[in-house]
Order: sequence, then C-alpha cells, then structure tokens
Amino acid sequence: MSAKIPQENREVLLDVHDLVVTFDTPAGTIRAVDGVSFELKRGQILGIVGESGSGKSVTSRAVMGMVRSPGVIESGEIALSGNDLRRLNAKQLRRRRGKDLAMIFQDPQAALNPVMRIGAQIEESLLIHGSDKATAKSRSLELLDQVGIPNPTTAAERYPHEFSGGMKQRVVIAIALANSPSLLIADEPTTALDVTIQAQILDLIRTLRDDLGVAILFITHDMGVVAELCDDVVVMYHGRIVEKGPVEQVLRAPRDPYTISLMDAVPRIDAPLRPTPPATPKPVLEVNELRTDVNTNRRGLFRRPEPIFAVNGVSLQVSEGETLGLVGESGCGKSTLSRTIVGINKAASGSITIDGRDVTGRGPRDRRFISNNIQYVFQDPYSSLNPRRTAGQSLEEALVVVGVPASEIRARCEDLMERVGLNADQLDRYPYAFSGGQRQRIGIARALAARPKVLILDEPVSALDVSIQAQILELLKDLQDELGVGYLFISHDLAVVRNISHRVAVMYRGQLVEQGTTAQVFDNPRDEYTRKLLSSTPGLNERFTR
Amino acid sequence: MTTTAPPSRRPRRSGVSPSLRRYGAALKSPRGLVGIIVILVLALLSVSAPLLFPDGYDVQSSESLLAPSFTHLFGTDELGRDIFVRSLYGLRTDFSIIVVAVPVSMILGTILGLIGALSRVAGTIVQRVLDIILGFPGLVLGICIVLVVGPGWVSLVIAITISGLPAFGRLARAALMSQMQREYVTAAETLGVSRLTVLGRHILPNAIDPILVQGAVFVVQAIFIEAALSIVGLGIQPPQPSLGALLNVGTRFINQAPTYILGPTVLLLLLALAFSLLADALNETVNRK
Repeated sequence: MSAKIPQENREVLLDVHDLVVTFDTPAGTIRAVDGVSFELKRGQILGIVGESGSGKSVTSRAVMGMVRSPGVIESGEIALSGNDLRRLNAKQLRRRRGKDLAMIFQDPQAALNPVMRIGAQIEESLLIHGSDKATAKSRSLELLDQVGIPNPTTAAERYPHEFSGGMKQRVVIAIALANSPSLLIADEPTTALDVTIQAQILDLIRTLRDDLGVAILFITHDMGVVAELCDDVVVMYHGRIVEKGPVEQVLRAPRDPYTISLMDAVPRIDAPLRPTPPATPKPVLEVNELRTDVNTNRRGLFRRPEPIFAVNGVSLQVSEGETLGLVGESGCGKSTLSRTIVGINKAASGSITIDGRDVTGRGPRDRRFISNNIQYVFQDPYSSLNPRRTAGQSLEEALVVVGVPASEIRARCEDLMERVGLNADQLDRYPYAFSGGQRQRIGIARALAARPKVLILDEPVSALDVSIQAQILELLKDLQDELGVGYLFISHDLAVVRNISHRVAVMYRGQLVEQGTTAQVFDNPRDEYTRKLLSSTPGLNERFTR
Repeated sequence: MTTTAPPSRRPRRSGVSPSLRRYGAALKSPRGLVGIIVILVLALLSVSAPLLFPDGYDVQSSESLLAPSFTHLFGTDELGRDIFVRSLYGLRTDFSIIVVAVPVSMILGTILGLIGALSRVAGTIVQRVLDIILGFPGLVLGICIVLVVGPGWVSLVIAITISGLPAFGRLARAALMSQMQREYVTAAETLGVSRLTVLGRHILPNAIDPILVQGAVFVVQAIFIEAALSIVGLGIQPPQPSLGALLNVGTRFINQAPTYILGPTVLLLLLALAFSLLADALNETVNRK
C-alpha cells in the first residue's frame, strides 16, 4: 500500500533531533553521539553507515531507550510519531518496545533462546503485549509464513538449532514483527550471514517495507548493502553525521571528504584487475586430491565414527609471487583446507608438496620445513596476538624459532615493523595499544619473519573497517611484489578476492567447483554455484560509479 | 590508520612488568592493605619471637592457668608457661608450614594440571587422580598420612600439600583448555614453536592469576588443616607449640581456664582473616583487567 504513496507525502515517523549520548570513562567523557539529527518516514529504509566506533549502534540503542550505563543520553529529542520517547518512564517505554518499535540483532544465534521452540518464542512477544493464547498461536504461524519459512505449522514446533543461520534470522525478524511495529531497527542484521543468505534477507526486508509499510532504520558498515537496500542514508563519523541524503545522491556524488574516502576504500566488483604476475610461474605450493577428515577427534576406544570430509579431493597450486583467491561460504571447508596445509589438521589422503618436497607425512623434519616455508595470517587480529606480550616479543618468538642469532633479532624486528608500515619504536607496545589494522600488520610481520614462500591468509581483512581493509590489501600487494611470496587468500568477500587475486578458486561443500584466472571466474563463471554467489553479492554496481 | 595510540616511552623490559604492577594494585585497596599489614605484623612478631623471648617457649613456673594480665598477656597454661610467648612461637610454626606447603602445592598442582598439554591421556589420568584426592576430606587425608609418616611437621606439610593439589590442578587445566583454543597459541604452533615453550610462554602466564588467588585462599585452609590435625593430636607434638596444638590443649582446660584458648584463637582468626582479605583484594584486581 505505502509503496504507492510518493516519498515526499509520507508522514514522518521517527524524528531524532540533536541527539547527544556521552560515556563517562576513566579517561574522560566521550561524546559517542554528538548532535545527531535525522528523520525517518513511514515505508522508508534509512541506512546509518559508519565504521566501528562511529556511534551508529549507540544511536540505534538510544532510539530503543536502551543506552547502557555508563552511557547517558545527554540532550536531544527522539520523537516517534510526535511523542518524545525520552519523556516516557521505564514502564511506558517497555510497553512501547516491541509494540511500536522492534529490533533485529546481528547474531540470530545469540538472539534466540536455544531451549524454547520457535513458535513459543514468537508467541511470547505477543502474549507480553496482551493477546490471548489462541490468537497468538495463529498469528505466530502467519508471521512465520510472512518471513518465508516453509511449513509454518511444523516449523513452529522446532528448536533454533534445527534451523540454518538465515532461517534463524527470519525467525528473529518474525519476532520483531509480531506486534506490527511501525519502526524496525536492524543492527547489522546480515553481517553474520553468507552472501547468498544475505541476499535473501535483504529481499525479505524490502518486501516488509513494501507490503507492511514499516519504517526501517538499517545500521551497517557495508556500502554495498546500503546501495542495494536503502532509500536514504546517513554517514556517521566520530559520533557526528558527516553527510545525509538520498542513497543515489550520497553514493554517486558524495560531498564530504570522509564519505569520499569511504567510497574509494570499498573494493569494487568492477575495478580494474591486478596485472598478471611474470610468466613461467614456479609452483611453491601444490595440493593434490587432498581430503581431511574432521570427525577423528570423537574417536573413542571402541568406536570409529564415519569420516566427515570437510575437504574432499581438493587440488590447487600457488606459484611464486601469485595470489590464489579461495572463495566460499561458511562451512565449505576453506578454513579446514588451510589448516591442513599448515599442519594443524591431518590429511586423510592426497598430498601436499612445498617447493618440490612432499610434506604430507609431516615427520619432525617436515614440520620445521613447513613452518619455515608456509605461514598463516589469522582473521581476528584481536585474538591472534597474545595480549600479555609486546609486538616485539611476538616477532622475536617467530625469529628465534627459525634460528636468527640473538644479536640480529632486534634489527630484524625493526625491519619487519617498517616493512609492514609500522614504526620501529612501537615494538615495545602491547597489543591493546594498537588499532585493529595495526594489529593485523603485526600479524603479517610475524608471518613474514621466517621468510616463507607462501602465506596463507585466512579472511585477513574481514574483521576490519573498509578504509583499513583497503590499506591492508595495498600492503599485501606491495609485499608480494617486493618479496615474491605466494598467497593463498581465503575470503567470503568476492570484491576483496577480486581485488587481490590473480587466480580464483571457488569452494563448495569441500570441493573446488571452479578454478581459473580472476577474469575468467568473474566475467564468465561456468559453475552454477559461482554464478549464484556472484549475483548475490551486493555491489556498488554501475549505478553508483562516480 | 585511523586511531593512533599514545607513543610509549617505556624502554624495553625496564621497570616493573605490568602483571606485577597489577598485583601491586591489590595492596592499594583498603582490604588488601589491611590484609598485608596484619600479615607483616604477625610475620615480624613470629620471626622476632626468639629475640623478644630468648628463654624459649618452655619456661615453666608454678603459676598455672592464670587469666590474661599485663604480665601474661594471654595468661598461662597448665605448666605455668606464658601463652603469649607460646602463641608467638606457635605462629612461627604455622608460618613455617605455610611458607613450605602452599608454594609447593601451588607449583606441583599447576604442573599436574598442565600435563594435559603434553599428553592427552596423562592429562585425563591426572585429573581423575586429583578427583579422588578431592573426594577425601582434608582431615581424613591428614590422618592417613600421619599413619604412614608419623605425626609432626613433615606429615603436616605433606597433608596440606596434597589436599591443595586438586584446586590448583583444576585451575591450571581450565586455563590450559581455554588458552589452547586461542588463535595466538595456534599461531605459535604454526610458527614451529615447541609445545613446552608455548606452555611456558602463552599458557602459564594466563593461568597464574586464578592460581595466585587460590594460593591466598589456600593459606587459610592450610591454617585450619594444621589446627584440625593438631587439635586431634596428630600434628605438632608437645612441647613445641603451634596455634592448633595450643587450641588442642586449651580445650581440655576449658572449664578451669576458659581464657586459655582466647589468645591463640584470636591470632589464628587474625591470620586467616588477613589472608582472605588479601585473596579478596587480589581477586578483585585480577578480574578487573
């Protein structure tokens, strides 16, 4: 219905005016949200974009009336259809929450109660707001149907763990919709999901706007999602709004320098490809028909469970100075593959050859050879460095292992730091004193300490903000050109993979379904799954090319 | 980089390490401060006992079972010995037991708990053995050991050491289990760092916090085990005093001289209280992070 009303004539539902939220910390008062104003009309999706720490989540929590201590709403107005929410007391606010405004969370796994049937969880939100049992039951089935869950009657009787991530997020959305709220706040609702699932959820959200006319406040860090989904967008930086307006205008012709830099940092699916590496590539890593059984840990004295091959017959090659991008969704076996190559998991069959030497058996001497030649960069720069050890100590550990004499260690550490774009005098800092991007640089420096021939990069940029992500990708490219290392670059993000890879392999259910040069895979995908993956990726397509 | 941390001017490895500074912070809290002061005063008193009372703890006189007075702060015992003097010497005995048994139990327990990192089978076996020890009440365990070794200082130390093992072993294993999942442990392993080094460098430092706190808690338990065994006559043997031994004899005269056990009890409680205050303060700072 509302889709037919032109945008301008719609009623303003949410009016946030000059909102200030402060946090009292031992280091002083931080203005997490500093004078933020925006309007949201019925039937409209407003995106709030920003990097971590920009205040976007705090803003959404303020609207819900759920700013956690030590946060305080200092001043400003939050009006929902004309009523200032800040004037309501806790009880009144609670009554409105769920009824007029509802929230969808990032992690559906954490938002659902694992020991309650999903039907009961939806009914609960209805019963709280005063419906009777019978209506609640029929309404919950109706909601399940509305969010696209097949067979609502049987589905309502099941538990959250019986559903996939995408289905769980649908249930969360059904709960949010239960009392027909006029405003839906979605805080990164697709970040924890695979791209193909993300595409489905975004579709669903769009349908909800069109069919029900709900207003949606959509918080995200992903410019691609904004481009696909939102009507209007607000760009936040350091607690302030730096730019706002219709999506077309802001993305195509950003005016604020921060927005411009943000847009430039987003890896684009249509950017020029990396030049091919020099000819006559010498393969440094060869994997042949590799299979990994991930069910061995449960083996008992008397029982030998059926093997589960997370990696099932994979063959690939990485040459000197070349990047092989490995794409796949969660659970496809890409991490198990990389862990098998560095020797964390054991190969069930097949072979791994490094620099011409077969290391599948992994004898004690092979282990040394493997760790000298293949190194690993982890996804999460926050957990891959020991918080109790300085950057220098972390690098030192890696250098001592490869037998660098004590007298040279300090110089080598300094050299490594500079190589990854950090200052040598930062060596004595502890990890907490570094930002996420800097930590990832230390992780890369540590992996390079042994002068390996191949680096396995397991989602090295997916925990980072886009601007930092772009810097790390640049660093990786420079290091490769300089040192001639081969990369096995694992990611679920197609745009990132396209940006850095010379060749791409697509993994699905433990097998490689497609392998070829980046241009081949992206322009002429042969496999059906690859095509589906490509079409699901929310991109800044031609529409927003500046 | 969007965020830049303030430059650190602290030169490498000089000054106090941050973890030591963290433990130091525990002493700044009122509880920690009171705890450490009481412990220090008691330790000083017990160490200087031979200087203050060079005649020793066995000076007998005809004035038996006197109530507390200025000449005899805690009164006198059945043989006319000054209970205050005997209490200080008793405190000395208790400190000597704590100083040996608690650290030994801590170190042994930690090592046992961490064995699981080197061999899964050994780790499981050790945990089951610790479970069995846990199933024995401290007193019963003590009696068993006394039966084998004979009563005295040595068997007390052994009994206390063994009864502390399960808690330390469990804590160390818990830290081990959680740290083994961490990516920086995996990172060290892919670098080719040996298991033993990983254990000492990455896992042990993270296990130390809960173990230290448990150590302070265990001191209190140790004092009570000593007292319990001495009260039933299996601990320190006369004429050597210990707080527990004093209580043991004192309870026999509870009708004639009810004040006999007052002094030793107060000292025992003070000591236990001081250590539990310290444990509390340590726990708070360590968990605040």
